Amino acid sequence: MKEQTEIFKKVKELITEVIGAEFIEEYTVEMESTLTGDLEMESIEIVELSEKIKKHYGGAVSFSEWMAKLSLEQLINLSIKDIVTYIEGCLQLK
Amino acid sequence: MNDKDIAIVGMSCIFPGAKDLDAYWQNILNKTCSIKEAPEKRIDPVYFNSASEDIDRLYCSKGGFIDEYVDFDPVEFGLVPNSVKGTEPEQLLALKMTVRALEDAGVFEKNISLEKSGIIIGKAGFGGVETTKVHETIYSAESLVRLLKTLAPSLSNDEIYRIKKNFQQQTGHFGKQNVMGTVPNIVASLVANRLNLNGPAYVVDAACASSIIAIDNAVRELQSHRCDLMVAGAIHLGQTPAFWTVFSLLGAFSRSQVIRPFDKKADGVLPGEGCGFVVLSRLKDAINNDQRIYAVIKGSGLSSDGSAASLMSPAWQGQLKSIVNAWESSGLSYEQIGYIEAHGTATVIGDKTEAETLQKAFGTNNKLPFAGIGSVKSMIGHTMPAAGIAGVIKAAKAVYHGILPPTLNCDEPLEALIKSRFRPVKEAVEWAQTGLPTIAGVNAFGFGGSNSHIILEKFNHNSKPRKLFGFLEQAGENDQVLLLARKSKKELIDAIQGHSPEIGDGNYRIAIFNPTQKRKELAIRVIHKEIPWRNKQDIWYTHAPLLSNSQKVAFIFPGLDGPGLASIKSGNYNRLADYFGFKTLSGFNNPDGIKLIFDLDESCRLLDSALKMLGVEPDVVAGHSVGEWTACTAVGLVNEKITQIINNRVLKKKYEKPDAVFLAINSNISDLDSLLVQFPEIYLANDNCTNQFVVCGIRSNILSLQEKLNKMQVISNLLPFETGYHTPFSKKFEPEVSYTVNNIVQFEEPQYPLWSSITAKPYPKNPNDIKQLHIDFITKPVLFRELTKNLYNEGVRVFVQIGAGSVNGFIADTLKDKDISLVSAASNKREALSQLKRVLAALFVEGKPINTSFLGLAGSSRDKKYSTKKGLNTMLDLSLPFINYNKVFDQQIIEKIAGATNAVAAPDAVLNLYKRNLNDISFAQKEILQVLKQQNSTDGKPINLNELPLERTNMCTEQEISFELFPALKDHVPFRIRSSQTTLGHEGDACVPLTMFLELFMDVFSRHYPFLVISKIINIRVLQFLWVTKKLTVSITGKWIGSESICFEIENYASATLVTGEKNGQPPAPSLHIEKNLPVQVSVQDVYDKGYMFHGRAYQGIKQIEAYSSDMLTTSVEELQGKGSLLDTIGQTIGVQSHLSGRNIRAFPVAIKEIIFYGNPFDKNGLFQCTSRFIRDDDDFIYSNAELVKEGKTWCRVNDWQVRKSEIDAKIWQMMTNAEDYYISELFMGNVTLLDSNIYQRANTWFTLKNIYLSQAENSIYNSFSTSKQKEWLIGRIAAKDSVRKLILGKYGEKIHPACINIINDTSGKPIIQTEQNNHEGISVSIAHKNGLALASSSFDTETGVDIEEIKARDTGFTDLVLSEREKTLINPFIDKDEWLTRIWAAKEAFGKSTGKGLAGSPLNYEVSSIDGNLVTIGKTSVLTTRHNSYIIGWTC
Repeated sequence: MKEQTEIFKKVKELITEVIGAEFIEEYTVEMESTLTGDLEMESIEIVELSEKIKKHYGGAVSFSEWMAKLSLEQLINLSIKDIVTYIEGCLQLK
Repeated sequence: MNDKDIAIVGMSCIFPGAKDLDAYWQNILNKTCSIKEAPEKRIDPVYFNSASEDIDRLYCSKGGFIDEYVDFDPVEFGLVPNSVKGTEPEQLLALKMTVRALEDAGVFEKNISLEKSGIIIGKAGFGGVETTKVHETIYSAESLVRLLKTLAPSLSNDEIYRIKKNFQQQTGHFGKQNVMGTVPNIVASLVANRLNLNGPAYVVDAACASSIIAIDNAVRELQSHRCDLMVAGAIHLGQTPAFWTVFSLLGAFSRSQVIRPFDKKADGVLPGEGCGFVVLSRLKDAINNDQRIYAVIKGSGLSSDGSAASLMSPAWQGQLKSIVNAWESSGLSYEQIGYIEAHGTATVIGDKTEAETLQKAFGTNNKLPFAGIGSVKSMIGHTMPAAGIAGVIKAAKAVYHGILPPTLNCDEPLEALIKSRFRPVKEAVEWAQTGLPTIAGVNAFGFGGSNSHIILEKFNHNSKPRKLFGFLEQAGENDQVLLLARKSKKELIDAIQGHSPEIGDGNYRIAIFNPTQKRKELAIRVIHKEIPWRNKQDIWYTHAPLLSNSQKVAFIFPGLDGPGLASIKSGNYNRLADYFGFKTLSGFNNPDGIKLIFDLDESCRLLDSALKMLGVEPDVVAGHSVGEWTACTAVGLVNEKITQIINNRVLKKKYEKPDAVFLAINSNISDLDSLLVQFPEIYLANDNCTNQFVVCGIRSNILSLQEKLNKMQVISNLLPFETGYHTPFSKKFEPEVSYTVNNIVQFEEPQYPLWSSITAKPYPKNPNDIKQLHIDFITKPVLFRELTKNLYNEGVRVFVQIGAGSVNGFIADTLKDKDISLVSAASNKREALSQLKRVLAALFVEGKPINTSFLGLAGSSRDKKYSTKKGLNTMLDLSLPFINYNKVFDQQIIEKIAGATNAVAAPDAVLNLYKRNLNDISFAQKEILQVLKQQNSTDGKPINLNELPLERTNMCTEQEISFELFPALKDHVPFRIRSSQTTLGHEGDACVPLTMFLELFMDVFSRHYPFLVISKIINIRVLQFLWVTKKLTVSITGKWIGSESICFEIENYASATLVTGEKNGQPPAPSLHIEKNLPVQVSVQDVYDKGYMFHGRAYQGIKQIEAYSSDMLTTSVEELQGKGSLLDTIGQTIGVQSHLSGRNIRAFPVAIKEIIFYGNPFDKNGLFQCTSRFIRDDDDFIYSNAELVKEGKTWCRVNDWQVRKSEIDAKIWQMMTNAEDYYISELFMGNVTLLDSNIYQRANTWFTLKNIYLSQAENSIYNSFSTSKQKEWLIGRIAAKDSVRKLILGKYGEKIHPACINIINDTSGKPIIQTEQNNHEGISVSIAHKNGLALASSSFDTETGVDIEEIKARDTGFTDLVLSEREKTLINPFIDKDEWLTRIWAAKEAFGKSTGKGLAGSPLNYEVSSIDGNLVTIGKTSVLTTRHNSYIIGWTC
């Protein structure tokens, strides 16, 4: 659980970098927030986020492969929790 | 100033002859009489009969009408356009004119609150046109049912129900969307609703006194301080026959049809219509608000006659009471009267009574100067409830301008008037010159003894310039939005906090949707940061508007780019279409494989039209991938749905789906260079943006690429479509695109600058370059990243994505650090209509003037910066048309009724009516009315409301086209082989003339609707020839578009729209005359025999050439056995005319704009004169007009008969007329022929050549090839046949038609020549192809071989493969080695062909023994090698 909180903190930090610190405070970034819905992220911003996640976690988290397999519906409803859970799973495997 | 004084601060009106207040006053000053004959559509002439005593006949036919001024733009008033139809026009006009009056009062500019304001409207309760239509829909329709059950008991319930539905189709648009549109009081409530007035809103009806009673009530609202602002007025539009009969029966109308108020000859009133509104406020407030004050209301009085007289005749006692009431309360003395705007109806009793009343009120004292009197009814007629307001506005303008206004037709005033103080004002007089006080009284005395009078006094006015427009928040809407613009951060925040509603101006701009307190706080936090905030949390903010200088707005049409497509939901778009009154979209019903492309195309064009209608226009337009086709249509570069045409053609060809798939890779393309070079078979399809591009390759390759990308942690997604567009995988589609751009679509001047995503540059101007670009489009990658950058450099700052997709995401990525605004016109989050509001809000924030009324914000349309030219302004229809019974009963029903009426021996009305004159609508109308009157009542059983047929049914008919059915088709063979020699049973193929298509369409139509008249055929198009070699069956579909037009189509071949309706009236006199007759060198015999026209007997409709001038030709023509032969003579006349004037064309029509029939299109007997006139031509087409005239009367008129120019040079023309004598190929040496596929560009020319050259058997082989292969194969056949023909000519002196030679291939592929002449046996032929060149040779007895090869640098490997060591020594080292290597290659190949074995595995199998000049010897054969440009031709001579 502690790990999950830390991953969330990190992901939130990376999202802030993508959206821009000047804007982020007007959004409520929570575990349940969806990227395209609540945070109004463009698909290209999500790609940017995945780049950042890749850089941070390195090869252990094959984020892009995971993303490529998501359906359109899943992409649209993608929440921070989904990402955190996925990263957590990868890290545990390691 | 008196506390009770009320000021008139604004006015508006429409009256006969006057579209607005200014025109009204000018007409008065100019003494303009605006009374005229009643327009037919308002009061049908059938009602006029001055001799008749019948209650439904009128003796008077003149009045005042305002039809031409009643336009209305629903968008301006925030109404759903769809609701306009079926709403009483008076409701809409009252709304519009109230707003005009408030504008005139400066209410919006001065931002005067409308919160404590109300509206009172005088209006007669007599039903208006829409109310009458509801009555017809509900009552008359049921009456009709009963009539039919009496007259024709054999009709089934279903049939009767169908008839009823047909009837109701014509009785208006009564339905859920406009159910309030006929409720009488809504006329006031609608205004209150749209303008958010919170005071009283109601209608008063006191006949002619209504207006002043409305004002009187409004005055009280203000005096009591219950309201601060009031609008009062009246409206009368109900000039229906029924309304007129009331006055006719009373004998109130003028028999002399002139209205002469207070004149001795006056004999009655003439009716008028119109509306007027005044804005009232307390004088003190008006002065404080600095408003223009037309006049001050000093007092008003109301009264009734009580029992003093009958309801219909006036009494002075009651009238006097109203005047006394007014003057007693005014504090003025009677002597102060300067002018009376009298009721003055010009009825004998009315005028006399009014004059007596005036005597009693103002005395007969001759010591005082005469005062003026007049009645505006003398100019506009009696506008009934609006008569008072017409008088008040006239009087207010009179005191305001200080002019006593003139009146008409009072040449000999009544005695009673002479006794009074009042004299008619015959010319406009300066009030000041008369010495009279500038005080006016207005009378309005109504039916039933309802009297009113009002007193107006001049005010010393001053006026100030206008400033800002106002703002009204519309409550309760989901898309409620707050738009604000201020000069500073502080002002903007204050405006939000202080609820200041005015939109304002300045660079600090914000749009907040759903502006709750919480969201306003969020907005304030955003503003505090002073960082632009766009499209986040439904808020837009900037303090540096992007469009404040000359920066641009781009419309970007998305292509198939992935996720966004999920949001195309048809309902959403169809609601949008309904709102704007656009056609609902067809594509959404299309289950095709490329449905996505169609859906996208249609939905995007809908959004584009909607935005333009809202006044949003792009400065630049571009599209992403297939979105570029949509963009082409949207800017008007093409008129057709090019997306659908191209994709349909591609689909029809049933190409095998390429196994190619698209992969979107989320990375910068340059980062992956080293990976991508490992996949040479994978091509770039779209370079979307900095971090995304799309590649295409066969599935296995793509999957292995994706595997590698996954390992590199690069996200990639397979895209869900497999067109292969933008890569070499779609090269095979090129011919379809080429055909489309060269033969189907026409390019026109685009209305907006268009950029291409293929070149990332503006579209070329030259038509050929445009065509080439479209062809390239199929195989070249989309350079969207570059396009985005170039558009930014062009000054584009706002990108509006027109449709669902991801292009805004691409732009955001490429222009990551640039200051731009991105907004999409489609969203998967909300309704299409709601999303359009976001587009407008985004544009507002960037400083663009917008149509704020669409956002539910009033006041905006008065923003002068916003252009209203593309609004939805439409004319309101004040008429009450008759039912067209031809559209109610179909043939079957009529026959049934006829039978039934005979059987029951009923009066023969209905039966004979239809038998005698089925097209005479007004006659039918009368007869039906008669029958309706005599109807008996019968019980109608309830009818099953379900499972009933629709009235306008679409049709689909199978049509056989064969020589059995249409033997005359054998005389319509465009490429007839005129050879006398025997042929291979081939005389050329027949094709269906365009005019035959038209007649087939008309036949199908008249079978279904025998009693509907075809008045026009429009939008006629031929897409390709329909060749008839054997029995064919085609489907003719007819689809109603609207109630008058039906679009017929034979898919892929032809289409045309038949317009039905009444006959086009009296035929006009012929308009085409040849003034200067030139001598004609050609006789009719020549026309058909010398091959100007290909037509055989059954189509040789031209009988005589009558007159010719350089651009015109007259012939006499007739209908023959050939189907469509009469109309076809028009085309022939145009063709002969073109020929005579030196334009060699084959007159195949491709399109005709319209054929208007004045005669019966089915009556084609007799001799006609056909005159054609050349109108214009452009690169591709010749346009002509024409007329067919019968017995001096125009039978039909044709506009824009459009003929495609074939590229007919002399050579092709000769080929067409005498193919035996000419050759298309270049005759090279010996019997070697060469043909370059580039000599002719147009597909049409090749089509012509194909028809000339190929035999029937070859034609079917040709047709089995794909388009791309067809041309290559054809040039080979042409070259070979030309070679053979030259050979035969040389040997026997025989000329042979190319189609009489058949070339087949034996099992090894070797070409074999077949003709029907025995002496031709043993001809050998050889054909070679290279780069679009075809080469052929032929020979008797010996085997011939020919080859063509391009001279190129070859490596040593190639040399070793071709030359033996000995042969290498034969090449002179000092000459061009590449050329000589190619010569030897060509020689060996030609030799190999001549042996029938080819190279038999290796060039080394044949050894060159010697080289002598250009002659290369192999074995015993000499091969002549000749250089031709950069090619070597080898030929075994």
